[in-house]
Amino acid sequence: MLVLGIESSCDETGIALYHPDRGIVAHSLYSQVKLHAQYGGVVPELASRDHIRKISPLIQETLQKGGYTMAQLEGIAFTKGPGLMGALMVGAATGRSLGLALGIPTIGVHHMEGHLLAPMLEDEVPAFPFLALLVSGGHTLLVQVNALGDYQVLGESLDDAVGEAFDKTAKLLGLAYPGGPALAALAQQGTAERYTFPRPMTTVPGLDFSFSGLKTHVMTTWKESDQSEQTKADIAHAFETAAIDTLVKKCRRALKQTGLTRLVVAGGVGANQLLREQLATLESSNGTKTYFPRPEYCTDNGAMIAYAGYCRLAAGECEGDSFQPLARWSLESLQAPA
Amino acid sequence: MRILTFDTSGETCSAALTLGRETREAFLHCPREQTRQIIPMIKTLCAESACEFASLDAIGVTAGPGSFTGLRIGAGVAMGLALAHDLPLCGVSTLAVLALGAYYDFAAQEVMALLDARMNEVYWGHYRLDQASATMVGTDNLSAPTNVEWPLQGALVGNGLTVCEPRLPEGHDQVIMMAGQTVHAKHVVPYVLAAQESGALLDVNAFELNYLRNKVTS
Repeated sequence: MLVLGIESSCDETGIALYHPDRGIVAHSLYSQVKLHAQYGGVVPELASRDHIRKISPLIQETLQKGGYTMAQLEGIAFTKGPGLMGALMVGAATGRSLGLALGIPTIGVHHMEGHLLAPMLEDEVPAFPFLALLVSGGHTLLVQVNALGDYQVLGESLDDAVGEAFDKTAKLLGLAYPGGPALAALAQQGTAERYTFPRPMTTVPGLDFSFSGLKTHVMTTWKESDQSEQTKADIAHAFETAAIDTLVKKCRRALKQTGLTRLVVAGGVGANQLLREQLATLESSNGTKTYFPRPEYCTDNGAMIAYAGYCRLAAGECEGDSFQPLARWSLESLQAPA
Repeated sequence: MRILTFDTSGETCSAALTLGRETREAFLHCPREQTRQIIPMIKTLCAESACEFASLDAIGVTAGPGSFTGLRIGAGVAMGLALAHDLPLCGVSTLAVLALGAYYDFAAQEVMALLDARMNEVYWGHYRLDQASATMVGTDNLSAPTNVEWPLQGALVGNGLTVCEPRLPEGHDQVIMMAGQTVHAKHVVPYVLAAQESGALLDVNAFELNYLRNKVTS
């Protein structure tokens, strides 16, 4: 079954083709990051307008790259939510009508399920059940993944998502949007031990996160500092170390609490090098095997939607005539295919 | 010509299938329900006429102005259908489609079409109609109600009338006012035929929406 995946939940238009025997045979991504840079964040209306412009040429380009024609498609998967309503609508309307006109089944996919299953696209695939740390600009979640569609959220951020905290902190330090990756790069030039920032909510029980206090801590420290380039790098270093250390501590706690021995890391922050290094040490310390999708499948992409859609279509699920996207959609409300 | 047209730009949802000289339309007043209604409408129209999507010659859709979300529902559906079988597209001014409805309903040869743009503004366009072909007088506009250029004669139609009091110029002829006039997919069809004749049908990648309201950031 050759499935076309369409991702348009935020500021990236992602299209991919998945075939169970061949894996991802082609994928394309258009990032709107430059469009939103001057506003310091994603402007939803501009995002929706850009998806309308890019979606159709990107679908054609992806089919061409994969060497397939429209007539060879056997299923369509689009991101149904959660995300920006206007942006989701573009992928949903295009995907649903494409399926209608081709006479093939169509499925609306949960964006986070896409992220959770992204490691399945790699050579080394984690077996169920596993713990997933889902970290991006919009989400910070610890999820127990028992099977396809059987998810239990163990902890989440009570305020800013970790990626959001990276971006906001970068902005405080005067780095260009989106600042997260720039902050991580700057942190490498920072001096360890000059500043030590708190690890929020690690001294209280539970698996929830909070990153807004850490961001405020950065602001206070920066204002009271000499604001030199070295200080900026030192603060970036202290922030990144504290944020990543917090994520790792909560992962350890969740692994202990659940008894799970496999950890999957997904979402845009999953591309962070320090996070990858720190989590990789879990294998030697407590035998936990960690799985990371390649960086291009960590950020929003069509490949994960094509794959998650394939899993559900192959199990016989498909969308009805309605294609109403869901801006908010609980991961736990999903069900395993019947 | 075999043409499928539809409109989801406002509080109604409609689709029309034209096979040769016959046009069949489905129409519903269904605010914020277009994502649930448009696919069944299209499916039913095609099934009733045993029309395969691959056999269509063109897709037509209202391309603005209108509700941003509504326009993108229409554009998305149109692009998906066009992509599937490499069909040409025709995006038509929502105001032109509204004006053509007034021509059919009241034989009005001059029509000012107005749509509520919210935020104390209206979309408006002045059209001259003859034998079901429309000529735009000026351009489609977005403005405060006080800046609408009211015509001397003809018909004023559309829900834009509910948010602005027409200030008709002195010496105007009797004017028909119909705030309840709605946009119909069947009135997109003549424009698609005209575009086909003049070679103005578009490739899916050249299709664009005309939002009129382009200041969307503060």
